[in-house]
Amino acid sequence: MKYLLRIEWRKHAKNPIFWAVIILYIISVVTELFGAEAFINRITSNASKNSPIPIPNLSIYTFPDIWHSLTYLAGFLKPLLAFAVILFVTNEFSYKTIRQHIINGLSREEVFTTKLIFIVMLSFVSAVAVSLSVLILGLFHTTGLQFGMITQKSFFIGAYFLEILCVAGFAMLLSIILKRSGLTIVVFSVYFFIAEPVLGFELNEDVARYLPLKTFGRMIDVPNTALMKLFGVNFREYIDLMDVFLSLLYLSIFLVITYLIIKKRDT
Amino acid sequence: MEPCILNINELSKSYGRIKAVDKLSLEIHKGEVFALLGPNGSGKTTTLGIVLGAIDLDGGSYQWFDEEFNSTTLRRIGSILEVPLFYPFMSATDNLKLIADIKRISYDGIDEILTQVGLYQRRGSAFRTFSLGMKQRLAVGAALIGNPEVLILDEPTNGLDPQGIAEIRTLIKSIAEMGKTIILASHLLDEVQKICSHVAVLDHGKCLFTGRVDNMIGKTRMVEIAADDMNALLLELTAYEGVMNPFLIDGYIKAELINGTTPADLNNYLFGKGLIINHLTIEKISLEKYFLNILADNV
Ligand SMILES: Nc1ncnc2c1ncn2[C@@H]1O[C@H](COP(=O)(O)OP(=O)(O)OP(=O)(O)O)[C@@H](O)[C@H]1O
Ligand SMILES: [Mg+2]
Repeated sequence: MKYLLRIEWRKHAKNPIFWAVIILYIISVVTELFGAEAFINRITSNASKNSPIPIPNLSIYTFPDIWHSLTYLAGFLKPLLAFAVILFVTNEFSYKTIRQHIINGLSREEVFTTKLIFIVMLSFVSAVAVSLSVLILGLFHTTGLQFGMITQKSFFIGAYFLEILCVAGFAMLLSIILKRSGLTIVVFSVYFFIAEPVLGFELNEDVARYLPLKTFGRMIDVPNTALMKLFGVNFREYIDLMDVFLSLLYLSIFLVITYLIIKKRDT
Repeated sequence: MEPCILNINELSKSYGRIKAVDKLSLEIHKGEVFALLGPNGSGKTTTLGIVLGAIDLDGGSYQWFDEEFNSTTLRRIGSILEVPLFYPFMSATDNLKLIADIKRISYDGIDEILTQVGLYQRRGSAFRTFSLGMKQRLAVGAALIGNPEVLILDEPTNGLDPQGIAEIRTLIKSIAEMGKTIILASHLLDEVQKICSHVAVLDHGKCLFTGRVDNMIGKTRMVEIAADDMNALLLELTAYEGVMNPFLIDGYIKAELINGTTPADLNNYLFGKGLIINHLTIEKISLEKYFLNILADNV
């Protein structure tokens, strides 16, 4: 395992494109999270000008709810993470380095494991970036902070990690099937932005709720803000274990198919 | 007999209707410099890809080192398959280190290997900045990592300049002298003739000939011979075991001289039969001609 980690690390450590993609991704996440409150408040203040009742400014940065709000917001950047996965997994095919690894004595199981390590690491980096943003923003914005408040809803970060790992697993599967980066990005985007939303709309809700991206996204529901409460909507503030189970099931299916393709296909 | 390194038995692989490898059987022993010789598309790369585990086979079997295939088998073999495959943004050294990682060995020999293939000066440059010949040299270097018992080189001199070709051939010979087994795919007869001890001639995935390279040349010495009584000569030559396939052409008889038969033997035999020769020349057909003959016979 350590051996596979070293191999995977060596491949990326000296790749300037890898670092550029990682840094851009982290900057996007951090910018989104740090700018979100100002952005939302600007919209609400515009809205409250035309509103008969005053809409209060909200803070999404207070512990413990910040875990919920920021993991929810960071979830919007899933496609960026997926693109990074696609880029680096398809590279192995366009450089044909997978073939070289196999003839050098890396087994197909090990090839699969290095790819799995890669998506877990990317998801982990993303979860760490979100966690640090939560801690920094939360510490500055929470009045009357107690330690218990910091950890209270931190389970959302676990759900976030699983959510992006599932999407990364999906992107990896597509990359392995299609092998070419441009094509894979197009197919992923069409599914992500068009096909599944349309399906979700067309299909009966009982069926539509089991669509993969919908399932992953449902783990973290829309955060309740003062604004939402004003309208009397109340979203789920806990994580439904059924969604976690279904997401894990989808992830396992993606991984098993990826494994079988790597196992069987000529390189 | 030296121990068997690679045993291929009735190996087959089709791509749609194309039979890339067709019931191919081969045996390669320790210390041989074994050439897979064949024109483009004859199945050399496919055969090597299969025995290296990169391509799935349709039928037949292969066995390395007379033992069960396991995860360490391929680490005992250094190989180039077709084109050099490296990470373009990584330096020569880093690419070789990655291979050392995969083979689970130390980085100690890497500088020496880079020197051997003439890339030491450029070891820090990214692979993508290399010329075709330099890439090929790095591929040869990669195959040498970990001092493997067996080298598989699929057209190792492809894209090299004459000096590079000479250097790589010298390198291959010196490695062979260390007692290593080398399997070389090539469509260059001259290359095979210069560095290989054994050869299998492939065409359309089939093996047309396999044996020692010098036998192959030895076997194909032609004699051109004439006597006063040409009909009697033809009769006697047909009966004689030292030559093969005598035939009349342009007033001479031509025949293949079987290995071990000398012109003197032939002369003595005919003299014993009361025939006086008035013309005798030996023509050594090159491997190239022989190779073309083999292929022509199979069209
Ligand atoms: N991935 C593939 N898909 C379809 N056909 C293939 C594939 N790989 C090889 N072939 C076919 O199999 C046959 C053998 O190809 P192979 O690459 O083994 O030849 P080769 O002897 O290595 O030729 P060369 O001297 O050109 O390298 C060819 O007819 C080729 O077209
Ligand atoms: Mg080839």
